[in-house]
Formats: sequence, C-alpha cells, structure tokens
Amino acid sequence: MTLFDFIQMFAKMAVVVGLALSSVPFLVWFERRGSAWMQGRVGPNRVGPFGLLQSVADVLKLFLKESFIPGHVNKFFYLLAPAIALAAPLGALMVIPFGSHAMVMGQKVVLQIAQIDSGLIFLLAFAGLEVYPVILGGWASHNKYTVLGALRGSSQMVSYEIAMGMSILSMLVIYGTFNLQEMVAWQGDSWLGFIPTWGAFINPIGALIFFISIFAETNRLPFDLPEGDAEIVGGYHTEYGAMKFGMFFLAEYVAMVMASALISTLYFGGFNLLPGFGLLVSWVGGYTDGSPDALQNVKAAFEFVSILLKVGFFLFVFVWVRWTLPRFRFDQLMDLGWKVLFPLSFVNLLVVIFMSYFFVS
Amino acid sequence: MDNLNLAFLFLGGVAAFLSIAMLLAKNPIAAALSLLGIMLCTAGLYGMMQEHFIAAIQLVVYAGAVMVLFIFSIMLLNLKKEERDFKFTTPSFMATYTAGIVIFIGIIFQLLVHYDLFKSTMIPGPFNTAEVANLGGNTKVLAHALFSQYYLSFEVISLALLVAIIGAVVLAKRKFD
Amino acid sequence: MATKTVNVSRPYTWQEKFYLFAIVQGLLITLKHFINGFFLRKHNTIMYPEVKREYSNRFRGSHFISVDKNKTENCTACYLCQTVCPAECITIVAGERESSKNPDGVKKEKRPVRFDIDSLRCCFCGFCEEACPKDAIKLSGKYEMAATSRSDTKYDLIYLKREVKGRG
Repeated sequence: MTLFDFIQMFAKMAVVVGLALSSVPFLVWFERRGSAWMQGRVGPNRVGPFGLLQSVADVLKLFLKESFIPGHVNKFFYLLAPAIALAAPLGALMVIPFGSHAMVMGQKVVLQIAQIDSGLIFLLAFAGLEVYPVILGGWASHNKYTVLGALRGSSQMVSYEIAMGMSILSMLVIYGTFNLQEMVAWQGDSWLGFIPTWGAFINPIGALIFFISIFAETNRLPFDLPEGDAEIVGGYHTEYGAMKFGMFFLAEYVAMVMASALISTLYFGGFNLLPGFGLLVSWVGGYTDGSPDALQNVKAAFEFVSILLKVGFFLFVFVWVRWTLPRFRFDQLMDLGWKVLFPLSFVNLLVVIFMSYFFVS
Repeated sequence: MDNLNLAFLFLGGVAAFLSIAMLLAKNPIAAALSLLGIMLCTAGLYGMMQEHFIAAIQLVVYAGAVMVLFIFSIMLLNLKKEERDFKFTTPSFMATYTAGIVIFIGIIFQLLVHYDLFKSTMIPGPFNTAEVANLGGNTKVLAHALFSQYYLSFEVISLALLVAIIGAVVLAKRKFD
Repeated sequence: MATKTVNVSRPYTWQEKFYLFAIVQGLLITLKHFINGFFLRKHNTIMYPEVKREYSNRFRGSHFISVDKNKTENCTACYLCQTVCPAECITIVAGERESSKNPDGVKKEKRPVRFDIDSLRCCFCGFCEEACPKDAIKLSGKYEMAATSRSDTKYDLIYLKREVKGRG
C-alpha cells in the first residue's frame, strides 16, 4: 500500500464519516422544524440563524451533562450498546459508492471506501448488527420498559429483515451482481432517452417492500415500537442519559442516512447523474482545461451531488412519514411483516426470477 | 512479520480469549455475546483471506440471525436459577473439563504428527487471490463451485436442514396441541 | 320507550384495506402544511413573548383598585367584596382615614388599612367587581400573573393601586 493509497483511503473515510455525522445536527434541526411546519407551528428558531444552532446547543448540553450510570445496570454491556449502535451503520456506509472515480494526480481514485466484490452482503451484514444495541441496551439496563423495548425491537428487526432480504434478492436477480459499483453502472442506462433505468422502475413492488422494511429496520415511525414513548417510556434507552443517550440518538440518524444511501443505490440509480445533470456537467466542463481527467473530476463531483440529493430526498421522506403516520400496534406490525410483506416479497421474487429467465436471457 | 500476520494474531488471540470467556462466563448473555465476538473475529479472519463473501455471510447468518435468536431466547427464558446454582467444583464439571483438555491435547498432537505443522509449509489449494480475481471475484468462483462441482452435497445439506425444520415444527406442534 | 341499538358493520373496501392510498393522502396533507410553513410562512401559532394574543375586553385578569386624582383609593372598606368572594381570597382590615377628600369634596371616613388578595386562591369570577358600590376593585385584562416566589402572588394595597391600562 503506497502513501497515495493510504491518503486517498483516509480522505474518503473522512468525507463519508464526516458527512454522515455532521448531517445529524442538521437532520435533528430539520426533524424539529419540519415537524413544526407540518403541524402549523414555528419550531425552534431562536438559537442561531433559523434556529440552526439549536442542535449544537443540545449536543453541548448532552456533553456537559453528568455521565451517570445507574447502580442496577450491567456496566460493561450498558456501555457497549451505544458504541455498537453507532459503529454498525457507520461500518455499513463504507461500501456505498458515492461516485464513479476521480482522477487525482493522474491516478484513479474509486469513490467508494471498501471496493468489496460482495459489497451488498457486507452492507446487510452490518445492517444486521444494528439489532444488538437494542437487545444489549435493553437487557443490560435491568428495567421492565427497556426489556420490553428490546424484545419488541429485536423481533421487529429480525422479522422485517426477511422481507428486506427478499426484495434485495429480487434486485440481485435483475442486476446479476453483488457489487454495488456494478449495480449502479447497470442503472446508468435510460429508456427513450429520458427515463432512467432505475431499479424502482423495473421492480416497483420490491422497491416498495424494501422501503417499508427500511422504516422498521431503522426504528422510525410508524414502526418505532422499540422506543414507543407513549407506552414504554423510552424503550430500550430509557436508562441512558447524557452522551450515552446522545450516541443512540446519533446512531438513529446515521442509520437513517445509511438506509437512504442504500435505497438510493439499490433502487434509485445511486450516484448516476440526475436527469438534466448531464447538461450541467458539460457546461461546467467547458470552464476547465478540457483534459479528460478534469472532465472526469467534474463528472464525479456532480455524481456526488446527485447521490447527496437522492439521500437528502429520502431523509426528507423519513421525516415526512414520521410526522404523518401514527405508530402501529405490535400485532399489526407483526401481521404486516409476516402475513403481507413476506409473502408479497416472495411472490415478487418468483415473478422477477421468471421474468428475467424468459425475457432477459 | 507483516501487517496481515499481526491482524491474524490479533483476531485469533481475541477469538481464543473470547472462547475461554464464553466457557467460563456465568451469565448466559455474556456467554452468548462472547460467542458473537468469536463469530465477528472469524468473519475478520475470512475477510483477511480476501474471502469477503464468506466473511459477510458469516456476519449475516451467525451474527445477524443465529446469535440474535440465541440471545432472544435467553432473554425470554429466566436463567437466573442456573446462574446461581452453577459451580465450578462439581464432579461432573471437573470430569467434563478434564475430558475436554485431554481431547484438545489429542487433537493438537494429531495435527502436529499428521501435518507436520512446524516443519513443512502448507500446500495451498487450487485457488489463490490472483486467480480468484481473474475468474471474476470470489462470489462468482464460490457460486460456480457450489452449484456445479458440489451440487449434490449442497442439495443434500439443504435437505438435511429441511428435515431439521420439519422436525422442529412437529416437536413444537406436539407440545402445543 | 327503550333505546334501540343498531350495530352497523361496515366492511372495509379493498382500497381501505390496501392502506397505501390513505397513507399517500395523509402524506399529501402534511406536505401541504409543510409547504405552507416552509415557503409561505403561515403558522397557526404566534411568537409569544414578542407577539401577544388579543383577548376580549370582557376578559377578567389580575385585580386592581381604582384611585382618584389624589391617588387615594376609592375603596371604603365596606367588606362587600370580601363577603361575596366565593374563594375567600380577599382580606380587608378597615381603619379611619385621616384627612383626605375626594375631588368632589366628600370626605371618605373609612379606608382599608390592608387590602390583600391571594391571587392563587382567586377564581377570577368577578363577583367582587359587581359587589363593589364604589367601583373600586376591578379586574384588568392582564393575564401574565406568573411570579418567581409565593409571596409575589399575594397582592397588597400598593400593588393593587398601580395604574392599569385598558379595561377599567
């Protein structure tokens, strides 16, 4: 590994992790102001311009609070849970490609941290680890509410992982690869010149099922039963305070970012340029020295902007849905997962297999 | 000693430490989580061998599914009593302990004699990293091997799993009827 | 005549069972509100400490005692308000007035030495206002009566004789 490799790897990690983490205060702000707007309120607007520094103040408060550990908890696992909560979605983010490649000093830099051949499975593996903080935090806190939240959370996440996996499998059949870069490249075409061949247009039912299960996986409303603040206080993180709670809070939003990145990569063309961006690329490219490297860099920059816009849109949808739908009851949640989404995704998978067998090959 | 060997020693050492911790843990959840740690270390070892697919599958299946069910069932069952009554000095524990050590030493001895671990170098299999990358990545190679060369064994194993599932359903049904 | 109960069972239509249509409807409603808030800045709430809600001028807020030109209270300590008060929050101690005259020359011989209102007990019914023959005690339109200590919630004569704008 040369020094260049090391530096570019480090820079990519800094960009992805930095973006994921620094988007959280903005997301929290947006969650609060967005909810206010949706409910005809004004929302936090006192701290900083448009209240943007509100979450900075909140984080500062969380940092300065006494780091209190209740006496009845299992200390090791109690402290381990928030760490895993944050590590799992950040780990999953490292296989998301955020651009084709850039040319730096004549060398090709692939804009993806870990160029793993089976990137999707890897991503799923890390997403699967998100169950552990819920279980561990709930169990280690020795509290009825936290255990209830942990039980709900783990069963919910395990159940919806099946529907999610099935809908991903149907996309694997279509793309014929585990490699996320190849998947995105597959979606780079267009029909009739303007309709992009995004996965969501090819496999809409799969996209819908995936989208619904993603909500359950990230514990967002309408599936936020592990937290269920109306019934079980705070769910699995009832006993957490100060920055340990902050870590769970951070993890929830990083998981949202990860989920949005995943759905935009799998179903919405990933870093492919948004319709109309091609013109923009050639326009900006006219101002460069016109070398292929510079043009490629301009393209990579717009690809990065494209995926950022897509991720931003899905983050907006996360907030939007949260402030529209009420929470499901637990049996309704399980019914939806096992009796509707699981059979539907299975049938969808079979249909996709038959279609691709008869029509594509 | 290069970086890979260091990583191997680290992962292997953590795995070995966690195995002992799992055996000695009084708390069932702690034991299950040690097992989870071993799974993660194994996945890391696979990843180190450039077998990303196997590593990811290890994580998905063992860490993501099997261990969750383990911990889930441990949490649902009340294992306080076992935790309290468990003693390291009972005769049965001592007997198992001794037998385990004897078997372990036997295996190590056999390995040393059979493979001559310290003298000759290991014979690598038909695939190495460069060749796998040449053939289109390890996922492809694995799929080809699994669904052509080892097709029969693959199907037999899935049949065995099916039998296990049906057996579990039958047992559960008899209990609840 | 006994009430007849009819149970009407209305089966769900398939659109309702599908649930997604209703979700999209709901999402559109919240999107409308979002756009109203984000682009048009239409809010149903007000920025309270800066902007204050207009109340009706019949609103009964904190008490005050009207005074004449000499800053002498109109109250003659007749105890009518204290008697009529259902919450028993008014305490009056009567005394003799030294030498103070109304602007119209009528001498008020009796005056309240103390006039205390426990605003925490008060139910703001306005009976004292109606009972008062001198229109002395009145309820203003002021509704911000929060205090940082319990003693501040007991209004004494000096506080009650303050100048109050608006209703009076």
